[in-house]
Formats: sequence, structure tokens, C-alpha cells
Amino acid sequence: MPNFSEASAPKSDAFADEALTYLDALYGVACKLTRNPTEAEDLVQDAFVKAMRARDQFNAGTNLKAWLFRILTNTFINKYRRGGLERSVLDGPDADPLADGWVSASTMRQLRDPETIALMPLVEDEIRRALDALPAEFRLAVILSDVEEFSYNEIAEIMGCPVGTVMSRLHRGRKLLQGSLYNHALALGIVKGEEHVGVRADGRASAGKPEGTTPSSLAEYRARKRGAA
Amino acid sequence: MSRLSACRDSARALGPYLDGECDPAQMIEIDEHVSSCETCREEVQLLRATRGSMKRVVRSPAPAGLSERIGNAMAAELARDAKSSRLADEFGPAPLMVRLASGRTMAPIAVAAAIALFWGAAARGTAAVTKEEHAGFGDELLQELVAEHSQPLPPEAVTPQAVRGLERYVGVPVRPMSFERNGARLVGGRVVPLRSQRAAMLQYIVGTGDEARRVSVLVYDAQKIDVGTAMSGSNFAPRAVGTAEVQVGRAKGYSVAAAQREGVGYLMASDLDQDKSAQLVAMVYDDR
Repeated sequence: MPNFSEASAPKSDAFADEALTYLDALYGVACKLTRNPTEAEDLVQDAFVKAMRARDQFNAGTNLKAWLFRILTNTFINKYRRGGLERSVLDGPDADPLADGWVSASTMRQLRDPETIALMPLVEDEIRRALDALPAEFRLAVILSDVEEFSYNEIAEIMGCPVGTVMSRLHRGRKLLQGSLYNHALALGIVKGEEHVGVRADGRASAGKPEGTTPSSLAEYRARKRGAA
Repeated sequence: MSRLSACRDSARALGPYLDGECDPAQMIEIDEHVSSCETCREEVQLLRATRGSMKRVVRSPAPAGLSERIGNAMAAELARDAKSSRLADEFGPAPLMVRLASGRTMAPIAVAAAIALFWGAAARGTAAVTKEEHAGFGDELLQELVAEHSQPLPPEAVTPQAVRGLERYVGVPVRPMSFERNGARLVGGRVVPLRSQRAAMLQYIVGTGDEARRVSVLVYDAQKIDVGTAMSGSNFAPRAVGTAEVQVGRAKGYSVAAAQREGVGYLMASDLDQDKSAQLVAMVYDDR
């Protein structure tokens, strides 16, 4: 008769302890992915339990944080996005008019807070909204780069896409954010309206209302770009 | 190179430049351009400022208690792992039930005894799992499931073929074949209402003789019936079974477990313990 008595569960585990040092980072990103704090908690817990389960596959000495983010991303895709993140971001030469000189240097200066390395507080509020409105693919790439400061290679690993795609998502994501910020600032009267017809991602004139400036999905983004072309 | 085209070239490179992802030659080139071009210099400043703001917006400390909750869940996972590897040492690799049930030389009574032994052992071993068990079970959906399980209506379809035919009422394939392959006997199925949609309720018997347990499985269209938010409460805890992800919990003394595959949801109620319940519901991923 085999002895089934439970071995005392280890009170702390080195792997678990190290993994949990990244809890705040994972939770912050999970909040932005799910846009719901409760779901974010569940998503993060799922990811940690999966990491525990798969800990033998983790190569000690490699980047645990990036590995955890990859599990988080995959868990998010499996749980919330059954179709997966869209892979194919519009390829080819960038026809995005936002790509250069969409607004003058002096206007850009007005968006910044002279005291800190940040945006004007009023404009910063818009970051929250605009980030949520970004397609998930762009949002995740921008956050992984700007907030978590992962390298492009690490982001490619985490998101399961080529480095070129990472660069493309970052570029477009940042441009869409800037477009939202600009329109928001315009609406608030922080910057003066300028003649930038067609500079926005949706192809409408830039002096329009700030609402609806950011497409919520890649499909919409593409449709708008086609419309703008 | 004209001024304008230099700007155009560098505009796309400003991101990688700030991210430190340019090669040194490119870095110098952009440095030079930025120092002489006010628009690009402002662009760099704006990207920097956006990044600073982004950090403030995104970074939010995890709520109190989450770290402990996750730590417990990971410890439970570790304990379960250790336990199943001990069992595997005794009986060979999991899934144990399948292996034993398909063993040619074993007499049926011995099979039943071995399964009972395994379940008994598993039941004793679940102490580590979840405080979620103590949480309330007010959720409507779980009530419905448990009601269907504890007071089952007679099946409308009893042959596997007829059960598959329920697809036309439910709108998703009803073919939980893997349950059958793995030692569960199909009793039958019927259509039941679920959150103003229709689902298929399948009944199984697992085990034989005194060890026979009833298992009820709701098969539903996961895109129409969003169990996800209902389960995000405290009733369920996520669990990994192999590469599959399932949710397990308890409601009114029954084990409940959930899994989703390709847009089809499976919600299971049974008298089994949670480990067994998780393993069984994870079998929906074994199909094909």
C-alpha cells in the first residue's frame, strides 16, 4: 500500500518568490490589456500559476520578466481573444501622413510640461483614454517598450512576432497616441488649430472633434487608412 | 539629400533612436539631424514626454492581498505537482484512469478498486487548494448548473448520434467524445435553457459499482453565453492541466469545472473532487 501522506508543501519557493517580484509590472500591464482591474487580477494569477506549472521550461539565467510577460500575453490571447492578436499589420511603405511633420515644433512644445519629462497634466489625462482606445496589438507593444523598457527582441519574443512587426506596431501606436493627444490639446485650447488636413489616422481633417480619433481595432485602422489613401 | 527627405527618413527612426535600438552609425546620423532640425528635436522631446506620462499612467501597484493570493495558488500548484509525480511513480504516468482502464490483464473489479484508490488519494490531497471554496455561491449560472445536475431531467437523446444532433438546437458542436474515450459512460443528453439561450446538458457515469459518480456537462456557445464574467467571482480558481487551462471550484457541495475550446464552453458539475474534476473537464482539449 503506497503511502499517500501529503509532504508538507514548501512555504516559500525560490522560483515563486522571484516571479512575484514582477507582480506589480505584470498587474499594471494586465490592467491595460483587460481594461478591468478584476479581470487583470485573474489574468495575472492565471499567468503565475501557468508559469509555476511550466517552470521546468524556463532556462535559469535568461530573462524571467520577459518570460512571464510572454505567458501573460498568451494567457490573455487564449482567454479573451480567441482569434489571437492580429498578426499582419499593414505592410509596405508607410503612407501614414502622421509619419512626419504632422505638427509644428512649437505646437509639440506646448504639449509638454516644462517642469517634468512628461506631458502637460491636462494632456496626460488623454493618455489614459487614448491608450485604452488603441488596438491591443499597438497598445501592448507601446507599453512593453515605453513602460517596461523591453528591447525589440524581447517584445518580439513576448508577442510572438518578428522584430519588424514590433517596430511597425510601435511606430503606428505612438503616432495614433500623438494624434489623440494633439486633438485633445486642440479641443482644450492648449494648442492652436493648425492647417493639417488629413494628418490624423482616420483621414479626417485635424481640426475636428477629438472623439473617435483612435481606431479600436486593426480592421478599423486599416479601413480608415484605405479611406485616407 | 534634401532637408525634407532627411526629416522623412529620420521620422521613422526617432522611435528606435530613443529606444536605443539603432546601430551606432545610424545613431550618429540621427544625432546630427536632430541637433539641426527643430521639428525632429521637438518630436524626440514629445516622445520622451509621452513615455514619461505613459509610465505614470500604466504603473499601478497590485492591490493588497493579490501577492499572497497568487503565492498561495502557486504553492498549491507546486504541491499538486509533487503529489501527481508521486502517484506517477506508483502507477505510471497520468492520466491514471485511462491507463488503468485500458490495461488488458486487469479484472474489472481491480480497475474499480484502483480508481477508487486514486480518487481517495486525490481527495485527501486537496487540502492545499483554494480558499475560494469558502466563498459564496450565489451566482445564478452555477445555481442553474447545480440544479440541472442534482435533479436531472430524463435525457431526450441517448445514442451518441442523437446527442450530436443536439447541435442544431444549441448552435455549437455537441461532441464531447473525449469524455467517453476516457472511461466515462454517456447516459444521454437534452437541451436546457441557459441564460435565455440554449445549451446541451450531457449526463455521464464515471466509475462502476459503488464508485460510480454522476457527471453533468453543459455544452454551450461561449460567444453567446458569457460565463467568463460570472466565473471571475470567487467561486472559481484557474488551474493548468497539462497545457490546458480550466477553472475549478465548488458550488453547493458539488465540484464545478469549466473549460472553453474553439468557442464552445463546457461547464461541468459532479461529485468528484476538484483534481479529478479539473482533469476530466480538461479532456475536452484532447479531442481530435
